[in-house]
Amino acid sequence: MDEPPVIIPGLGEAVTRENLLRELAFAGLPELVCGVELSPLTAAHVLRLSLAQSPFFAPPPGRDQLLRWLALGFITETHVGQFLWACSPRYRSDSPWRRRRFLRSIRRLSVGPACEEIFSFVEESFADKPGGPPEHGPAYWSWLASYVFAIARSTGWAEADILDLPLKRGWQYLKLVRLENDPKAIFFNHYSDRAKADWLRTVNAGRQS
Amino acid sequence: MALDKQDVPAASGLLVGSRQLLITTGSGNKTYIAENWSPSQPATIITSMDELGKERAAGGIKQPATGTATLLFPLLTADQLTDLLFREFQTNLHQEDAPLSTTFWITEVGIPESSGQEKKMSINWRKKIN
Repeated sequence: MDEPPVIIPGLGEAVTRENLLRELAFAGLPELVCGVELSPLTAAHVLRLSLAQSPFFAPPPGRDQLLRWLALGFITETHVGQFLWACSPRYRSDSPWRRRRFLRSIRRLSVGPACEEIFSFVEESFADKPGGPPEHGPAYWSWLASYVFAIARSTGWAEADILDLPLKRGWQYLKLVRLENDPKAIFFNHYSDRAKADWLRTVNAGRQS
Repeated sequence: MALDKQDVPAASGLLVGSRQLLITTGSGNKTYIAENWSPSQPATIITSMDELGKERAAGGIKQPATGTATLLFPLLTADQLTDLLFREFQTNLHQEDAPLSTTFWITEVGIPESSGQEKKMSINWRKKIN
């Protein structure tokens, strides 16, 4: 007979969340962050914000690190405004007055809660990013080159289209590209793997003590 | 042997289909979660021929079950990872021809991959013959 199934706290919710996020990525809906309407995060957004040295991407911080930066005053309302404007559907690189008007509309946002929401938005957008072996050597190309090349090679899509593809869709396609090339490829589930790993840590710590 | 089902979402957080492996390592017993548990039952086919070289009879001998799986584990050091090779383990899920007390051992470990805090590694396993 089978042993009774193990109960892992938070696993069911994590799997449900993953499934929902993956399907919503194809619904074409705008995203709301701090009540502000944003476009789904794309590789082009990440590039724009990385070049502007946004603290949300340089390097991608963990939540604890982000909160530490916030407490130290390294993240200001300027960074929040920069992020929201860069991802806004109203964004135009050549229109300073649009930018000013947008920034005026969000001037009452609190930095702390806004950072939390932006972090969740970024984390969700990167949740399906495929894992990989640890990189020990120097980098010879940008992650953007790998991302565009892998999807373009399998689909024939244009570079500009891939850069403007919501990351939540792009990562899913990239996983399938990987599966196509390696049927034994290892995949990760951001939220449910974390729930399982937390449970494993608890179980193994209990065994040691 | 039955293949694993996928994890079934449940508000209660039931872990269905993923195996727990209890692996005995140098630092004691540790639990791991194995995904994509994929067993196979190799067999050696023996054919006997008559004097004219025509097949007279054939029979098969079942070899010990082998298979592959993907191990999920929290962060470990490189030493702890290589320590898994040739370790014995038992799993919690029943298999048709393997009682719960069946022992397996890890015959090959792959290159670990990571995503955030979590790591996974593919392994090859083989049923242990006592």
